[in-house]
Amino acid sequence: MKRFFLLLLLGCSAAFPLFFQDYWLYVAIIALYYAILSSSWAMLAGQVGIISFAHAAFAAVGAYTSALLSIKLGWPVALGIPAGAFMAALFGLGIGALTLRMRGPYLALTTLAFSEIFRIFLTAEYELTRGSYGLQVPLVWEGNKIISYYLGLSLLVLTLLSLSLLLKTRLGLFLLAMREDEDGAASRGVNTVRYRLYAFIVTSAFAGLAGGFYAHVVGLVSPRMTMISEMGLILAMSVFGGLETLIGAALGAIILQFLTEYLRDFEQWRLAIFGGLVLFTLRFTPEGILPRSYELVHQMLERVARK
Amino acid sequence: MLFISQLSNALVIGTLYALMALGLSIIFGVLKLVNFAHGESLMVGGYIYYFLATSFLVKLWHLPLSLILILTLPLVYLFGILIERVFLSPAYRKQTARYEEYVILVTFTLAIFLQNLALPVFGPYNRQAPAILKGRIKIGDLIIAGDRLSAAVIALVVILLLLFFLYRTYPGKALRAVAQNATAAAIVGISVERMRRMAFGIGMSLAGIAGALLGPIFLVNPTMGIPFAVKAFVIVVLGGMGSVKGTIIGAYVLAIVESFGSILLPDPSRALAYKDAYGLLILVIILLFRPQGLFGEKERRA
Amino acid sequence: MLQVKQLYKRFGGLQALEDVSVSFGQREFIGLIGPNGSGKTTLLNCICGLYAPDSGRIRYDETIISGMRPHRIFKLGIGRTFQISKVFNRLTVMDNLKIPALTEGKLSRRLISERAIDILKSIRMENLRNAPAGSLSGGQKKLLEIGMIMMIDPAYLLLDEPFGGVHPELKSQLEAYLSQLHSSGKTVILVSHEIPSLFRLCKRLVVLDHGVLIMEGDPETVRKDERVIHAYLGGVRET
Repeated sequence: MKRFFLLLLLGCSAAFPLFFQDYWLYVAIIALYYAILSSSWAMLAGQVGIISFAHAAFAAVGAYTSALLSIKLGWPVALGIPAGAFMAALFGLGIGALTLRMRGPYLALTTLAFSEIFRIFLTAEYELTRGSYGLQVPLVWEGNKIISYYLGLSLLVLTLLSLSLLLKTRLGLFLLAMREDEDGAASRGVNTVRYRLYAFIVTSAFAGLAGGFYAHVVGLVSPRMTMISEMGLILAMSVFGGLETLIGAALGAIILQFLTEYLRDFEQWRLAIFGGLVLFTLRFTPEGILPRSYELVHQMLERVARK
Repeated sequence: MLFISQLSNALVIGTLYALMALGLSIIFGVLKLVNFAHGESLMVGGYIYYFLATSFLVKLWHLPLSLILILTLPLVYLFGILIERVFLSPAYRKQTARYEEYVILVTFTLAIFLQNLALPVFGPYNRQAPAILKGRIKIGDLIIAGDRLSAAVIALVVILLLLFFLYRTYPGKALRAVAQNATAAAIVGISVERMRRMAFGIGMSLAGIAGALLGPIFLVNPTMGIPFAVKAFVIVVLGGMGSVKGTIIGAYVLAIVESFGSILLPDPSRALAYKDAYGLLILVIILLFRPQGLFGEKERRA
Repeated sequence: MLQVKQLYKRFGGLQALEDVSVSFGQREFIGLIGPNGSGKTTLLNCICGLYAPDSGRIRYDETIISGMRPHRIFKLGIGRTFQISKVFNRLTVMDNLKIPALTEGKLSRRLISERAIDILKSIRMENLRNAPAGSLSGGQKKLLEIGMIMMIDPAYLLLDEPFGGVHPELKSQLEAYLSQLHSSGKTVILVSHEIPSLFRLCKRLVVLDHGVLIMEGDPETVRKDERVIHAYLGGVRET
């Protein structure tokens, strides 16, 4: 049932460019960016229990790295994007090593502070980043939308596959155990700080990957990428789709991004609506709206099948 | 002379910082959570004061602005209580497994929600709320803007009242008891849930009144709370989360650093661009090297 | 040899451990007793690294372990169980057992599974291998905890109230298992209130009261000691 559902989903998304071009294809490309961000953030928040507010900043690290490499050094996109992911992983290593011993609220505060400092840096270092105007970045394949779309889709599939495979390894088991009982895991030999750091580095790398992709499909990177409201959007998408499922969070991102476009006329109300939605979700179905509805549909189908 | 005027400015701003940071600190002390929506309660307070002060009723009955200001306090208090009731106490009562993560997510989302609700409802523009004292006031050689001085004096009065409440009255002592040890407080018959609600209401309303006082000095807009919330975070981390004394000292330290930091640094244009980063840097450094703050005590693990 | 020397630990206004010095030799079976709140669990937490002591040091053979992180102390061969069981409720019994061994990194998965099954047999839980640990009874969780630390075959077992809330029938099974472990060469440090079990199992008792080590000795001597009676009965003296 679940496998069938996933294949159907993959088929639909692979066929998407056959039916939609230009505008909606562009919307889908942006949705893929958010899907990579949300699923990796959901892995961090839902599986590891780290609420980091620096995820959007890591995306910006990837985006600016790739952008600067291609502008200043003429690197090709195919190298720039992985370099962006690598740089984000390095940032993840540094910040993670400093903060991961802290308890929840302190970690959230520190990552938020880092994110703000980074935004101020991007705005202030005009010579390097052109400040709030942002950098013009060469597009992937001269801005061919179909190619960009499939690139994004493969990056998303790569993200989801690697993260779910990772959860099936030793590391995944340790993370689950730490989530259940931190002291319990530590006193059974699990080096909690190290494994949390691994998870933090890996998810940061995927945020950087998403950022590099974003830079080369949109053609502009600016400090807006690190705004707190961007982080709010990622949070909203992940919580809506379900923090404890990677695919749920990715779907949540795609649904909310398309919803955003339908709500274009209510542009101003967008984040208020999403915020309200997330508050509702957190309060009443903390496991996320998508998993909950999936469950309900599943139960209904079973009941029908029994009759 | 520059020194004196910078210092008096720092004292004025520091008092206002202390007011809102105390709210954050009390919430942390009793509920053990960082209220990421603290800036938004400041914004709510700013708008409440603005709309009441500019409403026709005030003009009709010639109500004094100080009365409006006092009215802001219970209104934001009610707002805080409502939020505590809807989002925080159910999770607390049910002993939600991921309570700590839940409250971070909820208060952060609440902040985003309130900012973006205020945006279409009130519009993105700046509004200037009327000040209680207008013009400039001369003390010796020193000239202080009336709106700043009156705001600082009122803030000081509110802080003193708060201290009286916390240290001299029964509910205040109960509040501190819960902050120190909720289980022990419950055993001696204090309703922990009621204290949590009260603490959240008080914390939010302190930010609210700070918003009402800051409205005339800076401007009222949907995102006015963000920079002040960031400063409040810095202050409570500086002073040690939940410590009243530390918070007050931290507020003045930050205000002094801010007003002297920018005149002491070379390369003024770059220094200005990084102005908002200094406090954040202090926050990160303290969290890394002295997580209990400069004045706080180490907490017990597990 | 596990040596605790002049250990101090304070929580706010409470002195939880005060100048505690005690040593636990190889292959000993020691009971750590004392009234509630006397510092027994705090001592275990300090030994296994969950708390850093305020001062004093803990030495394991030649290594100073005070201040080390818990996972390293565990790997040196000091395993402990908890008063309120810390099993991973959402994982299966089998996965619970595998975790401590997987952290070693050297053992093959097949070897780990084999060892886990051996342990399940010796604690008579083979049929529960795929059950989530959360579905076990209190006593079964206690057994599973001991099984988990046995996965790395530690030299020292620190057991915090292993008999607490355990069904009487299971208790005699547990007792038998503990003496079997002891005779296979383990050092067992047992925190318990079950005086009869302690008398059957332990060769030496260590008594804590208000964070102070008030006496140690063989069970008979301890039972007759006035200070111990005083500590337990809170000042009411028997004649």
